Amino acid sequence: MFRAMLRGMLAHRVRLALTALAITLGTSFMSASFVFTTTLNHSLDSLFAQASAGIDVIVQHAAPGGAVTGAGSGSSQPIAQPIAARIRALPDVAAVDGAVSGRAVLLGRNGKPLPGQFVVALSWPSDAPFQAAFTSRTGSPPAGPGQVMIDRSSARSGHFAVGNRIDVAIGGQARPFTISGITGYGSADNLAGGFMAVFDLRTAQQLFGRAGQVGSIDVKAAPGTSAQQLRDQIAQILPAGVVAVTAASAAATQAHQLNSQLGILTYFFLGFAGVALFVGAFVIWNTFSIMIGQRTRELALLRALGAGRGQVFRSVLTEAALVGAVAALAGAGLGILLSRGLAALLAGFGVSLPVAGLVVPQRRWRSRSAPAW
Amino acid sequence: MTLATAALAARAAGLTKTYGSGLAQVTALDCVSVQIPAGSFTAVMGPSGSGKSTMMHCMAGLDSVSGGRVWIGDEEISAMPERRLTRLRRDRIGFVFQAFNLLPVLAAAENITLPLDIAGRDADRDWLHAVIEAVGLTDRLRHRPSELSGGQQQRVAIARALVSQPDIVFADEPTGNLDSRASAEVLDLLRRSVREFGQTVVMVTHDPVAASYAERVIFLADGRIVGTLDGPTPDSVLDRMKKLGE
Repeated sequence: MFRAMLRGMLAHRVRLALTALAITLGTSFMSASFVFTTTLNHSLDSLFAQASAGIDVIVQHAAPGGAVTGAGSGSSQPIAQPIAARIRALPDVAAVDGAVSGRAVLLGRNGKPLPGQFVVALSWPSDAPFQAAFTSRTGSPPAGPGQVMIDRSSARSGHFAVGNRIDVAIGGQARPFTISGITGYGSADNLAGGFMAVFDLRTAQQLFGRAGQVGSIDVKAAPGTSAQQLRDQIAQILPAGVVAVTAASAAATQAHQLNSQLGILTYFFLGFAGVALFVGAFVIWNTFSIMIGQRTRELALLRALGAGRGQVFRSVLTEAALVGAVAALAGAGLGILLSRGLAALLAGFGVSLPVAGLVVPQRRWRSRSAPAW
Repeated sequence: MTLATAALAARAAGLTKTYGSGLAQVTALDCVSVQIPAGSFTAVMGPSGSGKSTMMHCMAGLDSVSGGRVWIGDEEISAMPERRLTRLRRDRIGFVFQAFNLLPVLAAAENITLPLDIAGRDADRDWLHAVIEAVGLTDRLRHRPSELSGGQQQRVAIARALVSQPDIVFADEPTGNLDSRASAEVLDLLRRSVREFGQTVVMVTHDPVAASYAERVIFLADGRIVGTLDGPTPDSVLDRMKKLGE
């Protein structure tokens, strides 16, 4: 009985291969979408975790839009710079840095904006612990009113090197700067797809009209003090309207904010996967119906010769399960390759996303093991 | 076969089969009663539409009956649940079809043992050899059906019907797709299976020459038995058929 089934499968290799192809394509689209969106989410999480490495507590205005980084910058309400000095005076504080951020546009050599999603202007942190997020730097950090440090991906796309002149537009007005250095961010070449322009604090304050003010204050705890303890200590000396949050929860909030901005993309891919599954299911159903239809005579003969209803059903089901399992496995593998291709395709269209995690096998496995994220 | 000659391999009493209902009702079999002695070779003849194939399907448990009762051996099959009927077909009935109905992907030997495979039983080696030798396919066992002639394919089908040593073999127009020489081989094989192995065979045919190989011919017309003929010859069968047509 099963010998007849296996022989039948061998005899109809081409037909089976086509069925398997339909299944493989359907599942690979599914798998690619899930791997891609999960990796994206995962990468953003780890990016923000890296970004807040070395920071224990962040002090910011209580009003909404208080993101230190990300597309929502610039809209954050400023807080008075002297608060930083008062926090520095607390006993369990190791380092304090007032940071300013805003929106800027990097202009290419032809005077047009570099193609990209957005540019975040940041102030260069004064203390070493806070400089850890700016990885693999070349040149030197910005110092003085005429200097800027840009990210690696905009340096690459605009063909800029250390010492070159670059125009940066802030508030609709372009100003010339000298590139003092080029930097990465965490494990990526830029900030979650956004370009970076890093100035020293005083320059940033001037550029954004925030003299004597900062957007947020990063605080590092002395050894032996937890982030929660430090947050509670700082909260006691803050004026009304200013709050202290742990860096971990701020990172989570930021990742969440950016994720919800990227939500459209996620929905697009899930919709894509859903359509692929829907179409795939139809194709697979259809092919199997045709396969069974072509074999009605054979199956009727088996029934006449005394094969039970269950026996015939099981042999058909086993065949389907064998084809399905093999093809689905191939589809899952193909999907991982496809998701890398998808990332490359998006990068080709200028949508640079931090999907670096995909190439690390262990992380790839993790992103696959939680596809319903 | 150790059944006494007096025993019956199959029996039908008042067998009725109707299709449709109301005004559109068609009666294919009208109160047919027939007895098939064990170890006999019976031919069922009649013009097309006479109900001979329907009778065979009802007696073999391939089709349900509308009225009357049918037995295989001493088991009544007309009221048997599907599951038991399937098992009975597997273990106690052999089939030979007009279109051979071999599985194209299996070699001849595998087609022959297919009923045993379905039952999950091992072949009785001696019996299997005897059957294969009788059908004259010893050197063709590894061939696929597509590599065999029509006569050879039908001999494979007969071997498949005999291999599980059934109580009764039903053959539905077994020579319908064969030339006269291959037909003669197949009919001789069926007759030998009765004479040498004591097999019971019921064969539906419309060919007087084929019917003449049987020991007894049952004539059907319009769903009723209209006569029987013992020790038929092609001429006597043809004669009777002509009379039926009048």
